[in-house]
Amino acid sequence: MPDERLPLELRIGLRAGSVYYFRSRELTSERPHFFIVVNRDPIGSRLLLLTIVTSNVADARTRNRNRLQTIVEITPAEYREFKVHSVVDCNVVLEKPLSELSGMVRRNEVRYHRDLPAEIFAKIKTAVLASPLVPDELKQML
Amino acid sequence: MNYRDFLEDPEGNIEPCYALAAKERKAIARGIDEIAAFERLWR
Repeated sequence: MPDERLPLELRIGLRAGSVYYFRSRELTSERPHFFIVVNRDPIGSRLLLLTIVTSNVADARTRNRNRLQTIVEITPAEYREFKVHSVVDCNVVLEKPLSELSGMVRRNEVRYHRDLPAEIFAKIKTAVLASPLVPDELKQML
Repeated sequence: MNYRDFLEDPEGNIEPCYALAAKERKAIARGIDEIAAFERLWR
């Protein structure tokens, strides 16, 4: 049953593949602006599993040169919400309480974006599952 | 805890168990910084 205390945009829009953007004025080009929800039931579990989107593609390739199957590159042509060639390092999956995102939405600190296309989300899911660094208990929540 | 400390080689004549090239070290350090920046924005 949906939680009535959740902001409407989360109740109707939050799911695996949802993309959010920090509105913070502190943002610089070196900092990640977007994050992606990857777990299949964020509302029911009250927990978010997030991956971070960055534009440091070369660094992600270098860090993961022996496991390139664990990074997903996304071009603006594939997902036009991203204005630059971006990358998701799927070895980094962060756990956050849903209540914290709920508070950030209420405070207008994050902005919801169009969901990732299914084929890109499938790549991210595959890459997380391929990661030797992500614990199995998190993988089971995808 | 600052995860960047793990990128430092051991002091003295101790051989590191995993040798990192300078490029790798910088890429890992920037990755740590990105996660830290995310955490700061999240709060």
